[in-house]
Amino acid sequence: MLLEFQREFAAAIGVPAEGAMRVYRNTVLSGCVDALRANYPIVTRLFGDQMFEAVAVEYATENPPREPVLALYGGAFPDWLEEQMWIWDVAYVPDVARIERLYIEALFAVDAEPLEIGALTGPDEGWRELRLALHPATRFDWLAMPGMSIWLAQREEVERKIDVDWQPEGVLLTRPALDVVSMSLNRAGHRFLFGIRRGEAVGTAAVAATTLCPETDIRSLFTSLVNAGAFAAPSPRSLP
Amino acid sequence: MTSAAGVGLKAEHFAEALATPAADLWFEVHAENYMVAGGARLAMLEAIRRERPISLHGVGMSLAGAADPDADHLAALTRLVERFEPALVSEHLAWSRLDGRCFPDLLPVPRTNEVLSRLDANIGRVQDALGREILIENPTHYLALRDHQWSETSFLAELARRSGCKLLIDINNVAVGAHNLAFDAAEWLKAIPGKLVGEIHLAGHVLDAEGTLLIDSHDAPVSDDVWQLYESFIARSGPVPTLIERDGNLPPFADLMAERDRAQSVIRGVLALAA
Repeated sequence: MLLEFQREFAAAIGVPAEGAMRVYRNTVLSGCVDALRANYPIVTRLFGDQMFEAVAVEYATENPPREPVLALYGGAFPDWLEEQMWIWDVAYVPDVARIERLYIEALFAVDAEPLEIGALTGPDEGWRELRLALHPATRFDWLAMPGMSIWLAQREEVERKIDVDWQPEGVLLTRPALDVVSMSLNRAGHRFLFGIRRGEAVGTAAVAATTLCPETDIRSLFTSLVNAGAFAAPSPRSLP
Repeated sequence: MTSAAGVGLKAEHFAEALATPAADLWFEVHAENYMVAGGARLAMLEAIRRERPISLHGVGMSLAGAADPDADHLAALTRLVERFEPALVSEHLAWSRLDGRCFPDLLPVPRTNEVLSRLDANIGRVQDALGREILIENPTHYLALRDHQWSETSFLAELARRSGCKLLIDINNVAVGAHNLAFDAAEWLKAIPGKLVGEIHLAGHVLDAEGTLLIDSHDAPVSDDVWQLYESFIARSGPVPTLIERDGNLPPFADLMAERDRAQSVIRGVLALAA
């Protein structure tokens, strides 16, 4: 009986309703919209609040929450946006949404100590064999659109004309302490992190990165990734 | 926790909440907002917890649903309780999960014998997992459901008796439901045994756009009628931990503290009478 009641009730608030049923329907939908707005603030600003709400209601109707914790709700939103016919007018938005998703994942990831550059004191030869773990908050991606440039400009919350170079770009987000850190990646940086993620030794990943981009200063790339907090502090034994 | 008044903790108020010297102040948070792996939000709650008692108020356990409590969700709540050692843990007489889908709302049930048994069993599972008593909050009513077999007050009292839970009486929910379903809020509150009540919620409400239903919106100060109901209830029940809830139209922290101080003075008043 109770199960039947619940199913009938869910069906009744699944379509536009009047009176009390509208109150329940609105609360459910606005809970989803508020969670999406919180997780995609730059997309909200790019769309404007009214359009974002309409888009979010449509997304939430097709992709309702599967768990009561909404801090990470909307994981499929960037891909869903890309599938919408109308997105062609604003084709850069899905990549901005992808960055916002990586940001949220980094924000709520497990806390961990980052690898400090000072921990790498051994001879350079030793680094080649070193196997590093990414910091648990580290997220990176290679995007077809310059979403990072747009995201960074929007985050500054200033009205200005953005001078965007419409080229693919890489993005790194991580959280070595309480604040999320972001960094643009070139192809070499992306390839290097990709190698580390799949378990390559630092030397192997470095060779792959410099093969892809021969002009890369691999030492300075590696230093900037360590300083950003991209890697987890290893156990003392695993250092050279 | 002593019977004092507390405030719902909002991230926007973190610095002031941490710094306020108010005596006996405590804070309540929605448990689900802290079911994340790491980051600043949890660090903030750690900092508050070092200074103040906290209450974990769950909104997602779906205790009134036909299914058992979700194992992952219960495990997440257990971890929070172990980490933060809250003074109070509460949940709702509502359902919010069905067939793999979650509804960010507190959905209603008819007060039948079947629902009473389900609630008793589900509350028992949560209390067993946490190793402690929880409080169950009375729902807000917008809809007159058919098929009730119990009055609401006797249903709540029986649920507390069977499961060993305590009640969290949200007086704003009572006032909103009384308006929407045309019952007497004062009579309703008189029928609740004071000894079963472990916490009280006070919040604001608004009239919906059609001007017919009151909405439990938590986006306005506590209304005068709710204050009156509260004062009468406390005069009868004795002091009970009382929370000022605010979720929308967030005012300055000082404004919430002014409402909190009013509740605190009501509690102090009955303590003085009893002395």
